[in-house]
Amino acid sequence: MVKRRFDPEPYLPLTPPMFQLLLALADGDKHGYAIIKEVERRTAGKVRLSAGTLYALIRRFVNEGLIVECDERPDPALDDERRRYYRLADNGREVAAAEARRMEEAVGHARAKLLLPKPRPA
Amino acid sequence: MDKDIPQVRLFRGLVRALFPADFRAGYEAEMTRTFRAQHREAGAAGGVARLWWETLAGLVRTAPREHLAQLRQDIVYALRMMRRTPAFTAIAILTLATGIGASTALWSIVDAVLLRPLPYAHAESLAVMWNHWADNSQAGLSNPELFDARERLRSFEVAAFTKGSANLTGGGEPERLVATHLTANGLSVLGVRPVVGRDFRAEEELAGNGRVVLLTHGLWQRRFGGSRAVLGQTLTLNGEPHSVIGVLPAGFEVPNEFGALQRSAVVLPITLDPAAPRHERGSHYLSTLARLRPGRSLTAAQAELDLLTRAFDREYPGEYNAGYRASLTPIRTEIVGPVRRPLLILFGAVLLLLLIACANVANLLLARGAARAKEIAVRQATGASPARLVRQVLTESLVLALAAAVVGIGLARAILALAAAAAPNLPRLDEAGLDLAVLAFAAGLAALTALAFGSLPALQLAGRDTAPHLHGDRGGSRTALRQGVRAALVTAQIALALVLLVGAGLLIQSFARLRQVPGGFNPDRVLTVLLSVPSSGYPEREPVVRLFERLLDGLRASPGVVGAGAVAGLPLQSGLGDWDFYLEGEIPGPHGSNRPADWQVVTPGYFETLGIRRVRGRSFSPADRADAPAVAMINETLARTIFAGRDPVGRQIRMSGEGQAWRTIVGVVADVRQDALDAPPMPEIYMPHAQFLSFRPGMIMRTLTVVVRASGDAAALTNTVRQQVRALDPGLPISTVTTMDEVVARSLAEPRLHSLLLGFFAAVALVLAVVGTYGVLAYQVTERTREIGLRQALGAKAGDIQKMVLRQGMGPALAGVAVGLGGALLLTRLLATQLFEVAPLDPTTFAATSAILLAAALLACFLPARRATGVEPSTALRAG
Repeated sequence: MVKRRFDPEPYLPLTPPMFQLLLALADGDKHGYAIIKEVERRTAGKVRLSAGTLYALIRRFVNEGLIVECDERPDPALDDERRRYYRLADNGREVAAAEARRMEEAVGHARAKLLLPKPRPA
Repeated sequence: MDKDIPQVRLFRGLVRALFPADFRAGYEAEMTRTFRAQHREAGAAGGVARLWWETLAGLVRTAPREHLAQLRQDIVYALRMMRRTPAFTAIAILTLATGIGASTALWSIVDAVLLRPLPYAHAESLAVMWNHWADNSQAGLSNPELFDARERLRSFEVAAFTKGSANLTGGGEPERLVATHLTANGLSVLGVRPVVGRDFRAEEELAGNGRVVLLTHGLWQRRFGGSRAVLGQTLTLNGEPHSVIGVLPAGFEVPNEFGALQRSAVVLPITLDPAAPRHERGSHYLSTLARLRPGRSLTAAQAELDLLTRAFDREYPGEYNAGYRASLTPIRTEIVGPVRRPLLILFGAVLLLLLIACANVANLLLARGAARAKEIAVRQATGASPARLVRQVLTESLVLALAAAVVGIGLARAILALAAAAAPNLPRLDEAGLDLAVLAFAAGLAALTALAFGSLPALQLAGRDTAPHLHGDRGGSRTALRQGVRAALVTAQIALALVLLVGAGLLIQSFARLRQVPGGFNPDRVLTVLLSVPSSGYPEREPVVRLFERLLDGLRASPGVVGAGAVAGLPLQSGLGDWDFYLEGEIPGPHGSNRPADWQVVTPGYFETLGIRRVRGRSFSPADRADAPAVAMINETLARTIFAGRDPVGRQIRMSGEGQAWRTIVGVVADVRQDALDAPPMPEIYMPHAQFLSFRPGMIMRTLTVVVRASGDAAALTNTVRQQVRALDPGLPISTVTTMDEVVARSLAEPRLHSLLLGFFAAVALVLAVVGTYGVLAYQVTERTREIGLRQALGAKAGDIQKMVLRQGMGPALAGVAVGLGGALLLTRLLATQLFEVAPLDPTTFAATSAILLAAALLACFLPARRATGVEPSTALRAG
């Protein structure tokens, strides 16, 4: 059976909370609170996910196969409560990457128009 | 684990309140844990307020989306289920569509006719004033009574109007217009202002000052293109110039025109004589309006009116009899009162039909629910909560009901068109339509209907023990309950159908009897045409009489014409009221005889043309001219009541009032139903047109309806009549061209509509109830296949099986007929005022409809009973 190739385009553009959620899971499984903290830290507080917003997004992405639910285990960095962890699925990774490429392309256009300065060589 | 602090409990409570059950099953615990951690951190950093603000905003934003997402899922699933079972879906939609469509159509009519505000400002303080006499007849006011009321009543302001006609000539084809003559304060009493120009002035009520006219909106658009330049233009009405002073708003109607086939085209000032003697009070020709003054109630106004009428009796002894009174009727009651009850009965009938449809579809869904038991069990086993499944079933019901509403709108449109064609004179029916409010009603009704028929299958689902179904076990312990519910639904359908059938049977019988009532005339091949002769060119009586004589002579000589005559008031279309009369030997006094009879003015040839039988003596002839001895004819009722046993021919009678002549009765004709087929004939006096003298001095009978009997098609004579009139006077328009058959049909329009609609609803109810009975029994036979096989294996014969199945089917049907009879006994009393010569508890109707319903139910049970005897025992036992 030929597996149909996954097309991330229909999911784009992602809203900032959607992109940040997928990005948070890109480097490993996390539970909900950890996702919220990482997004807040990485965006310097510009994107703040509430519990309602986060879990509604998680449910949607789980239904669409972009995220999978993992086991429940305690987080030693927090209290000892068992928390459900989430993992970025392959399709989710493709969607996040496609969104990043879209934004990169937009940044490139802005630089070509001198809206943004060119990056300095490292 | 720490006990939760109040804020965390509050958060959990909000999640439970806002989010759907399925979502909460997966994420409530996680959300609570996450919030707990957030709250702990925020508390330490002093950011609790901000946390709550963001959390609440998030909950409010996302919870509705979760509900919508589930609803979308449920709708998609429902549509998939409907596509998988097209026959079931079609039957359910059509069944519900009949109920929803009929209810929507009737609601539209009830709303337009009974509920919508009248086109008058503060209509709740507007009333109509009537005089009432001892014999229960009612009439308008006379000229002196109007002036007395205006001068002496404080609780309300009084206006008056009459209906007439005006011939519009000059500038195009002459046109006869229906005209309302209104007092100067008429528009302000009605709470209406001209949209262009001005109202009448008080001085324009005086003779000679009234050469002004207000145009109705329709005439303004049609004849003058809606141009404001019409103001100040001169129109020639009845040969006299009239200045256009204004235009009335669209939809303006005087109260007696709602439902009239002819609405006024122009409004003219009425001519009143304030100097007329106040003791001549007998001519009650003014229709009267009353506007309650601010702060006055109808009760107080009626009390003041009662004082005034008692004063009339004292001040004018002999003029009013012992039973005289005047009344105020609220304008809405006056306009729609007579149709309120029949309309509400019809509305109740369609709601019964809708209930039958709901019971029918509920049974279908219950049967389908049992067939889907395994599917439901699998869904529950894979995580769907009972609440989720109940929500799914209710959504399916809603989708079915909305689809039915869309189809039902088409049926509603057809019913409205039927009503408009069958009863065009129902007041305000032309305002009924499928506007947004009515469509919203249909949608709301669909939602209620979904709840009604979907709740039983949903409850069935909620109480289901699904485990046995996973293993193919049908869960036999609940079978008896399921069968009981279905049997109860069949009983309900049969009972409701019987109520509708009895009601329809009574109305249909009543209508059939009404149609049989002899009108006293023969309407076949008779054309009727209204001709109104204006005073300009015909100022005296003789030219008017000669015009009609020459017209009728010309018509009688025309090819295709068997006979021609004319009458002032055509039977079943209009009467002229009543008039006191004296018998020979009596001395006419100033106050009348208190012995009224209805009266008519006819030409020679009228009775013969309309087929009114002459019983005694002779008919009017051309020799009965103004300079010949005055004659009259009377009808059988007058002959019987006044001259009982004696020959009236040769006797003398005289109409009351100054200047009237003693008339010799020359003939007696058979009774004619002048007012309505269901109204008994009144005593009637006929006077020849050439000798007629009005009770109002100087008034000439200028408007007659010409009747022409054709040898062939009556309508084909229209041009003949038009040509004959044009040959006499090209400026004379003819109008109200119709056949006598149409006049009779129009008089039966409302009873025809009621019996037609109720008959249709009852027929649909019968079909639904019978199909419902068949469906349930057929399904029950399938359910009992194993049991039937077992019985046959143990020796039961085919006849025994048939009887068993028939008992199962006819049991609920018999119970339904019993309940239905009880309901019909209570409800048919409401029909009493609609019935003609049929009792509300007519035993023949009750027995016949019960027999029809039982026979239909027996037929519906017969097929499944026959199928049951075809069950092979060995196959049945293996299939279980």
